[in-house]
Amino acid sequence: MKRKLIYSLVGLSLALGSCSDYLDVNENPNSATAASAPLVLPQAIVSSANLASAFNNYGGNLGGNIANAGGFAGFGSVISYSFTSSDYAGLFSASYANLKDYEYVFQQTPAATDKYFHAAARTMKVFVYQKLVDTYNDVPYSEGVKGADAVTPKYDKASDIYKALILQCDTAIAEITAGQAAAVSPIGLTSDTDPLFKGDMNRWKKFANTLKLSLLIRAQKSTDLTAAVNAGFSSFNTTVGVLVDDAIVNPGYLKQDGRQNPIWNTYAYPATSTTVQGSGRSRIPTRWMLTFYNGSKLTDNARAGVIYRGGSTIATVNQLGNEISVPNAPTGYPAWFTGATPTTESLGVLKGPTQGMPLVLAAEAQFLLAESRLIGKVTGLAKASFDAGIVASFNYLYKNSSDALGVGKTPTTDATSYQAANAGIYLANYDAALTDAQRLEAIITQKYIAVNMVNNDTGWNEYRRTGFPKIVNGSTNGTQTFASLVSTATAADKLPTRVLYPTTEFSYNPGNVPSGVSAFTTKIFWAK
Amino acid sequence: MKKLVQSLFLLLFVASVAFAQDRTVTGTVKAKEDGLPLPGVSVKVKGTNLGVQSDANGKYSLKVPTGSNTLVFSFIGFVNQESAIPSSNVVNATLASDFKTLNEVVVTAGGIEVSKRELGNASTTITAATLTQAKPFNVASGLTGKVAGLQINAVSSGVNPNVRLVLRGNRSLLGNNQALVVLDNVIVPNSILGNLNPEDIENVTVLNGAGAAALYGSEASNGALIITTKKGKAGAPQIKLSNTTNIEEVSYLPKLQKSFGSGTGNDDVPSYTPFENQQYGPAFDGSLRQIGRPLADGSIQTIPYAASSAKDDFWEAGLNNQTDFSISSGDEKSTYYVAGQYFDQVSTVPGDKYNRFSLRVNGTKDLGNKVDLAFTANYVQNRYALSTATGSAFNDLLQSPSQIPVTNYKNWRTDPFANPNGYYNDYYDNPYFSLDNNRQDVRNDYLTGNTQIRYSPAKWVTVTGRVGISTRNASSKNYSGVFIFSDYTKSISASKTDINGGIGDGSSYSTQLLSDLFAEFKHDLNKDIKLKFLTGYQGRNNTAKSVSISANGLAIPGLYNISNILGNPDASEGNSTTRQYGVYGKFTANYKSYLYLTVQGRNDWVSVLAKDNQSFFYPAADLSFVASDALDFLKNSNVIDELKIRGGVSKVGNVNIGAYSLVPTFGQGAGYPYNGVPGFGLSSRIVSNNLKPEITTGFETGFDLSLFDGKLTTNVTYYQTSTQDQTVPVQISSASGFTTFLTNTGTVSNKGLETAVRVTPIRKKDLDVSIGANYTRNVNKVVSISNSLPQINLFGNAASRVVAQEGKSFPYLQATNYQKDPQGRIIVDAITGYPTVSTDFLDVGQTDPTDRLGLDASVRWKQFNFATVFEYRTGNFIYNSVATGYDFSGAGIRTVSFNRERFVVPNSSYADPANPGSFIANNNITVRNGGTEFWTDGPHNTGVGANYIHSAAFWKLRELSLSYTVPTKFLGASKFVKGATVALQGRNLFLWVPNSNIYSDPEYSAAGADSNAIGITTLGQTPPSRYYGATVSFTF
Repeated sequence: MKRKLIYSLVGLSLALGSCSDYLDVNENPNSATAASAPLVLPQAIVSSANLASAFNNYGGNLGGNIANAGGFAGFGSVISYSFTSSDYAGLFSASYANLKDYEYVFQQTPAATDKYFHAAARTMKVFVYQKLVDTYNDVPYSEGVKGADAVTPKYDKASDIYKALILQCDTAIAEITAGQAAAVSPIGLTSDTDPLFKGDMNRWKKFANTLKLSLLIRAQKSTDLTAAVNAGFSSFNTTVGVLVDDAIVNPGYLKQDGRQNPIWNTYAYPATSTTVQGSGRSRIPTRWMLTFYNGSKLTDNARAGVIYRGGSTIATVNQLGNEISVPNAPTGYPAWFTGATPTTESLGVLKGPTQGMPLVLAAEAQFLLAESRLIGKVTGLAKASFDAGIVASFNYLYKNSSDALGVGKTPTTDATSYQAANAGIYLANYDAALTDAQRLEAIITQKYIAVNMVNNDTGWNEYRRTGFPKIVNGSTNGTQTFASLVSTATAADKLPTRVLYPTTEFSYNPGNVPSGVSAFTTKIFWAK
Repeated sequence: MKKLVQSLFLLLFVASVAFAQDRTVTGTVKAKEDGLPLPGVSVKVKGTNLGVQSDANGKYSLKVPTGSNTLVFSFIGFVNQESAIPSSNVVNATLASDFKTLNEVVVTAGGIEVSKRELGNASTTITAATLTQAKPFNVASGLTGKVAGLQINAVSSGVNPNVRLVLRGNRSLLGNNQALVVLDNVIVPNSILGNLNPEDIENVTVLNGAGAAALYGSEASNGALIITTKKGKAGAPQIKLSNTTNIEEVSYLPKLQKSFGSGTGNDDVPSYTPFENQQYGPAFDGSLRQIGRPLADGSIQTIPYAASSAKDDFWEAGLNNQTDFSISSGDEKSTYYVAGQYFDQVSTVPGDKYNRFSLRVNGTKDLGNKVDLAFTANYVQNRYALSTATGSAFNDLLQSPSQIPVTNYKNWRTDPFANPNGYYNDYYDNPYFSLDNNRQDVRNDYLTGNTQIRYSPAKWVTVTGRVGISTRNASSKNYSGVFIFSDYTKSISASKTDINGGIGDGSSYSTQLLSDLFAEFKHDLNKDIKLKFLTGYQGRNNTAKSVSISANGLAIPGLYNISNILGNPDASEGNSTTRQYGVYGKFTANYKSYLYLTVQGRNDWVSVLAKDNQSFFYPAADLSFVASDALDFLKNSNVIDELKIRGGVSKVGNVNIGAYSLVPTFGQGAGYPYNGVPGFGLSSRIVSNNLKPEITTGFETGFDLSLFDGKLTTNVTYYQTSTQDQTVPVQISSASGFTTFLTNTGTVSNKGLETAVRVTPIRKKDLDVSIGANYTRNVNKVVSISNSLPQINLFGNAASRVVAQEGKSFPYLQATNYQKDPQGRIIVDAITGYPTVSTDFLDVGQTDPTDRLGLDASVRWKQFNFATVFEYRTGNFIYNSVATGYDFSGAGIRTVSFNRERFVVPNSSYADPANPGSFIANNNITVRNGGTEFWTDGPHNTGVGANYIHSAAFWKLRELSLSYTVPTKFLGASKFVKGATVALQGRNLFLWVPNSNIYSDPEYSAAGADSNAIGITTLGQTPPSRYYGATVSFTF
């Protein structure tokens, strides 16, 4: 009996040991180890929306849209501009983390039937890479997001990346067009897999075309890119045209922890509370920004009324860097929320927790077109695009979180009234501008107003490219400049030129990351 | 009672097979030295397994079969004696003390017992008496300071503190460095240690190095603790009952200032703020002042403006109560040991509680036909009721100005001034409320056990089969209550925001199954050369699962159920299965019983590695030379009893990745799924496609020496190891799309010395004195990590971090410091007088002690036993991440270094405006403000890591105990009570630290017991405790 027991024990052990698949238990039951393009693309697009929100915050700090509020201190480099390589480092890493997923979709979809996914991933890569270049200038591109194949990717010249991105836009449009003409249509994007355009491939083409225009406009004066820009403009597809609707990401944002719109979640309320989020308390509008609404430069009670709590006469404003007797944010509300109570829906910038996140506004597309027409690269009347841009801006701000116009709101009428109220002022009336410089200033200033608190980084980029909206260098008056009162910047305008490469690059890619970059003197290649 | 136990035993086992037994031999066993009877001596019939043990009076009675005519008497610490059985059938034996220890047996891999003389590697055995002399409730506490080479850190405070056990320093940068724990020959998870009844333990053998432990498998690269639990003893049943009651009280309090009260102003003449947390107000003057804001009814508190001891009194007296019982019995065929323990602990943290119940059944049985069986089963359950906000409550406490009678605010539900609505402090909560409102209930049930069958068909071969299980089943619930502030409170205190409450619920299990099968063969080549060979197989299967769910926002206050929430819950699930098996062989050759050569090897196959890397082999060899038996001049020496010289080399592979680490994963993106639509993204880690085990190679050499009849014993071991192919997630450029790359890279070297000395100057009938010391020195160094990665950050914050850095010891502490001039003076601003924090992290030093010393003494005088253990550690540093609690609040003693007046920063300089790059000594520029503006400021003070770093050296009085064994004559004639002992004992009674340590116990680690990143503490570790109390025990 005991022998039997031992024999069976021996047998059992040997059976366990000799079984060749005994060790085949390393297949992950917790996480997916593969995912199809339709599973990854929507997540990547929503991540880009988060990224757009992060860039909006960064642009707001640097570009004059937001200031420090009372009751908070320790703003450090936000107000001094004495950036270290840890300031805004998340923009770099989050952008590449996002690109990695687009690259994955891109690599998974070489087949003809997957061309729509392929083209969408390609377009989104352009969108993210442009943001990276506009923020950091030279960045890894040709060796970027290659995983283990390039753990220390080399940096490409910013203008070379721009050149490549322009061509990528053309390719994306061509891929979609080819797909639309193919006998067997590629697998379509759907409202589930495409939280940006719900599968409307014509809008994807317009988006790619708008990105192309944005690249061309921004790079127009780069001597390295003269040929590329000219070629780009001459191949500009006017049939496809630019965005006529806002490019808004909405996967179905919910009033739930972690599922709210990112701008709302940054500046408004958490899902389960009516206590204002930290940034909604610590940040208030700048005195500078109000000058575009309160009659100081322009009168715009209509748009101010939906953007600011208290409209153009909102009292809780500050000049960046002023830490003495600063007003607190409005009690119980963030400055950019105009709803009656924390739980009511609103219009403007903070509409509600379920609002979509704009990547590019139709207004921006129109102002890009206006500038292209102003410089004669695209045929058509610049004024028409300029006016359309203003209407598009009213249109976005008048929309509620369901993307429908607010009750009783008519963008065209109010845009006309706005221009009438500012009669004779060229910043709002294209025809009042007498020179091309004034016309450009009008276009850029209106773009700056349109992207206020929506895509602040766009305004900041355009300021650095054109110097508009115009500021008074060295002024300490908050209505004349948006530079911080405690700026340590050495430039005449007391503004930084850029942020620095992140610490992680100096630690983990020291052989490639450009050295000697200064936040006050090193400029993005397209900067003025 | 006895009947019950016997029938229980019969239920469990088949009845024993009867043997022919012809005559009964009786007698008494006495000790040669003092002539007193010796209980517990094993009396066996030579050449058989038949035997009994002598009773309390040294008497025995044994049936001896026909044909047998010799008895063997053996007892630990005495020389074995053989006696022929005379016709009288009475054999009285007198045993002589044996001062030689080399014949003692040591449990080694697989549970095989070998004599100490065979071992070529260092080992130390701690007996039950030494382990439990101070009644620790955690086995690890009972080992602390007693074994050279073993470093035990109680890394946290509170109930059932977590313990980290490391032998010979840290080898793996990121992997596990803790010693392997083997319980009754079965590998068990480390967490078992804190859940094992120390009273059940017979002895603990510490195998310091990988060489000794290699047969246990790859985890033994960290050394091993071999724990053997008690077996029943043949003879009449022995029942033990004891109770220990210990008081726990805070033994070391942070140093706090007692001069200044509430206020926050930057002015040189600070003003008083009644609702302020910061303590930068006016100096105490004893006047009556209002505190807080008026309640809705207008009432307000008025108290004397003077320092109170409330912050020290906040920590309560804890109470531990431990009740043990055990029954031990057996006959010549079988033994059993049944024991139970109930342990109950009330913490020094108000409201925290813990209890543990443990039950054990161990048994052996001779099944006849050369087969015997052994089994153990141990069930332990523990229950925790804790606050999850201990750290923030500690902070709340420190944010209470000294005049505030914090301890008056316990009844926050009924006392309007203690209620959050009326609490005096505008910014920080009532600590009692924080503790009460954030709770956690944890349940753990452990079952460990094994069954072993041993078959010895012939003298030269034994086959052993064993299966073991170790399983943990746990659940926990975290919850925080809802608190809605009154409109009145919100209107007067802008910072008061409603608490929405929340809930988290989790459950998990983990199970380890272990099967062993091995055979031992013995063969004597000739009378001088004897060979032993062991070969075996070990299989192991680990499965684990955990599920958790949590949500913020409760719908109905006070109902802590996941169904009662406002939003949607977050849920997560984790599963894992890992398997491994190994085959091993060990060959020992013995020449004349004084020269032993052991060669061994093991091959492991593990499931967590890629197919091509699943198999790896590691060999070891050691040599033991008993010089005192081999060399005539030593053999004949009157001074030297024993001298053994030993040495070994080994190589062990250690797999430092978990299951499923090889393939990068996809996870749902933030927010996903949205409305039923999924969205996945790649994780941020990529993995080398060729991950291999970390390989530790090393050698050790040493000697064991016994002099003057064992009155002086000593041993010394030197070791050196090198651990290569560290498994490290190398950080890479995020532009690659990923942030870490898991690969094999880097080497760590360790070397050190382990020594122990014991002196027994007096060894008499009524007086026995023994003094021991053990000293350990360990030096390790990160030889390399990788080309692209000179440093890995393990843990830390903006001011300090624990790192692994090339060329430095490991773990290594770095911190920010003040910006300094080339002469090392702190640079201050020429106008404000303020210094500024450096942007870089500067090197501080290692966080593992380089030198450790354990001292112990024991004195037996008549019926009294006295024992004590001290421990000293030095050579390391610690960072206290406590700036907010101590300096921001103004509670810390540092903030009154200059009496809150303007001061010149000591040893400072300022830039010479005329000569850029040179500096002028500063003797007169004072800081602009000696209050809040300096002490609470990041760059001036709180962000400067070096301000909160100090030597982690300490002396601790680990154990002190005094026991009295009641003489038998006092126990009455009934003989019902056979023995009684009363004892007083204390643990961690005193802590002595350098003056620079004004915060806490330097043994603590905020990173937890399982992290290598020791060297940082936070307010999460409340003040350390001492335990003292009494034990009463009876034997029936």
